[in-house]
Amino acid sequence: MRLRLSTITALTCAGIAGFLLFQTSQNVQQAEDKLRVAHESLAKEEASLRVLETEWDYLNRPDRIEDLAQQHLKMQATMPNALVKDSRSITSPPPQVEKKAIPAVVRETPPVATTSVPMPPSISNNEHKQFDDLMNDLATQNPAAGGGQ
Amino acid sequence: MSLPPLFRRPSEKIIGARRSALDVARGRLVFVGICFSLGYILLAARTMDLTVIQGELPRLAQVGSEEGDAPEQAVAEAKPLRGDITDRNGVLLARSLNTASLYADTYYITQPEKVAAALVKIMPDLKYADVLQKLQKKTHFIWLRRNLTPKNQIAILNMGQPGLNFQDEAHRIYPQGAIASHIVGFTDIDGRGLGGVERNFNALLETGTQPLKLTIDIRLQHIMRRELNKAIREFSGVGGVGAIMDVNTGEVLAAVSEPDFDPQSVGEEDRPALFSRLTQGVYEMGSTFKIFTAAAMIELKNPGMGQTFDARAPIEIGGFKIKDYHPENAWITIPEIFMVSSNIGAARMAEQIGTTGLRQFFKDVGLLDPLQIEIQEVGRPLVPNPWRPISTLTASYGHGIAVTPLQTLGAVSSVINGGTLVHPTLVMDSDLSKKDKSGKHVVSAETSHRMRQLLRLVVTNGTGKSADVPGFQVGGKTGTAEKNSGGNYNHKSLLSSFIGVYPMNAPKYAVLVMVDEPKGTKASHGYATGGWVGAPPVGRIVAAMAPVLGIVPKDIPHEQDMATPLLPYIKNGQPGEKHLASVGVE
Repeated sequence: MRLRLSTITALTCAGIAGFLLFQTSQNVQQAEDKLRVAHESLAKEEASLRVLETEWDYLNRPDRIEDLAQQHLKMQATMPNALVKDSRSITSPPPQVEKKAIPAVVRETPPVATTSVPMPPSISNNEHKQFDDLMNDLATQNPAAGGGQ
Repeated sequence: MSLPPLFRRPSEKIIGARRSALDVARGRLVFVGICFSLGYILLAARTMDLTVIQGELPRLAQVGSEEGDAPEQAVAEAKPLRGDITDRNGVLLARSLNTASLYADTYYITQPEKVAAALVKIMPDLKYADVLQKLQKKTHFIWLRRNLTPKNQIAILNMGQPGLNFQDEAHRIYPQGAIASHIVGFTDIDGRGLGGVERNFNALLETGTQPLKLTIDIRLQHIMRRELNKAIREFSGVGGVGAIMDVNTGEVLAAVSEPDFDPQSVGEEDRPALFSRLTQGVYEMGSTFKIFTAAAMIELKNPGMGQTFDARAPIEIGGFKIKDYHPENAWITIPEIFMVSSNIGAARMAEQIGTTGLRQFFKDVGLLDPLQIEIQEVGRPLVPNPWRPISTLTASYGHGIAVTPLQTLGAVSSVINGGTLVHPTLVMDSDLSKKDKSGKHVVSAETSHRMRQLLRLVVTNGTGKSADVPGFQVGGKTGTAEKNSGGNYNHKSLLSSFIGVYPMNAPKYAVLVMVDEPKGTKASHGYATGGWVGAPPVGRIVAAMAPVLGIVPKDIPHEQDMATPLLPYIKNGQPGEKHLASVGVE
C-alpha cells in the first residue's frame, strides 16, 4: 500500500490538533479548578468577615462600653459645656516662666575640682550586695566632698 | 517521491487484478490499524487525565498548599442570606450567619443510648429522653439541634459518630440585643420576619441584596433606654416609652418601649413584652394635647397673647366637671394656661375654636388616623364617636381621645418645625419610607413660632423646669393623664409624660418620655406628674445627646430667650404690663 503524503499530513495535523485540544481542555479545567478554589476561599473569607463584623458590633454595644468605662476608666461622660465650636476659642495655658539664664561668663569658666571627686559606688561592683547596703553606702557619701577643703 | 523501506511492499511481485485487490485489502487493514491505534492512544490519554492530571496532581498540590482544606468546606450558596439591618451609622442591628445544624441518620447509630448521653453532656439544655426518642426512630433525617455553636460542633465531630451529620443553616443574630427590639423585630427559626421591620420588609430582606438602614442611632437609643429605665425604676412604673425624633424630617433617632425583649430568643413568656407601647398602645395623653389646642387657637382665631380666659371655677358640663390640678381661680392668658397647664383654660380655648375646627386640626396633624410608619405594630386611635361638645372640651386637654405616643410626637414636630407636616419614619431609604413628602402645612410659620415661645415658657417658668439644660433652649410640655379603667378615671393610676423640643429658636429634635403608672416618691414629695417624672429624664437626655451629636451649647442673653416676649403676659412675669392686647410675632 502506498500512503499518500496528503494522508500523512492530514493524520499529523489531526494528531496535533487533538493534542492541542486536549492541552487546552486541560488548561481550562485547571483554570476552572483554580477559580473554584479561589471562589470558595473568598466565600470563606467573607463568611469569616461577617462573623468578625458581627462580633465587633456585639462587643461595642453602647451599654457594654459604658459599663466597662465606668469600671476601668477614671473618666466621666462628656458634659455639654465641655464642647466648643472652634478649637481656637480654647484659651491656652499661661506660658511657663523661663528659668533665669546663666551668665555667659559663668558658662565659660566651669568649676575645676581641687580634690578627687568621690564617685557613687558602682552598681557593678556591688552586684552581690544587698539593696540596703547599697543605700547605706550612698548615704555615707560626703556631699561636700567636691568642694575645696 | 520514494517511500521509506517500512512502507515498501514485499519483494514478491504480483501484478494485474490480484495485485490491485491485495493493495486495497492492505490499505484497509492499515487504516483500521491506525484507527485502533488512535483509539487506544485516546483511551490512554483519557486514563492519564482522569487518574493523574485531574486526580493525583491536584491532591498533591493541595497537600503542599496552606489553603488545602477549602474545597471540602465549600460554603453552600443555595439561598442568599437574609439582608442586614443597620442603624443610621451602619452599626449592625440584625445579621444572618451560617451556622451548623445537627441532624441524625439513625440507621447508622447502633447505640442510641450512648449517643444520646454524649449529646446531652455536650449540650446540657437538651433532654436525654427527647434525644433518645429521636435516635430510636428509624429515619434518615431528624433534627436534633438547630444552629449549633462552633464549640459544640467540634465536640460532636469528636464523638466520631457516623450517624450524626451537619447541615449549614442561616441563623439570625441581633448583636445589640434588646436595645431596639420593638423596632427591629425578630424572626422565627426559619428566618421569617415576625415583628418590627423584620416583618414589614420580609420580602426585601429575603432577597439579601442590600442592608436595610434604619433612622435609629444606636447611641441615642441607648441613652434613651438608660434614662427611661432609670425613671421607671425611680417611680416604680409598670412600663414606659421614649422617643427622639428629628422634627424637620420625621426621622426617628431613638424609639424605646419598656418592657422590651431579647429578639434572639423570643419565648411564650415574652408575649406581654412584645406589645409596643410606643406604636401599638393608644393612650389619653393628657396635657401634651394642649399644644394642639393652643396651636389650633392661634392658627384659627389669631388671639392676642393678652386675651384672657375664665378659669375662675371648674366647668360643669353633662354631669362632668373639668377642673385644674392647681386651680388659678382667675382669668388667665394663653401663656398662663400653657405654663400652669390649666385644663379649664384649654377647654375655654376649645369652646372658642369649636368642635369642627378642633377636630379638623387634630385630623390635619394626623391624630385621628392610624400612624403611618414602616412597621405593622400600629394602634388605631380611639376617637369619640359620636363626637359631642363635651368631647371637644375634654380632647382639648388630652382626655376622651386616645392616640399612640409616637403619633403625638410626630404631631408636635409638625407644629413646631415651622408648620410642615411630618410623619415619623424608621428607614433612611426614601423609596421605602412612608415619610410625608407632600410638604403640607398644618400651621403657619407665625403660629409655629408662637408655639415655640409657649413651649419654652413652660420650661423657663412653668411645669417643665427640670428639663432645662443651659445653652440648649429646651422647650416642652408636661402631660399627666389619669388612666381610664372600666369607664372611670383613676387618679392614682397615671400616665406621666414630657415632650421636649430643642433648640427652641430653630428646633431640631423632639424628645418624648412617658412612664406608665408612676408612683410618687419621697424625693418628689409624693407627686408623680409629668414635671416630676418625665421632665428630668428629658433634660438628662438632651445633655447626653449633645456630645454624641456634637451640638455645642450656646449661651443666649435673657432678653433673646424665646420665652422672654411672653413674660409680660404672665403673673409675676418681667417686666411690666400684663394682659396687653394682641401682639405680633417677635
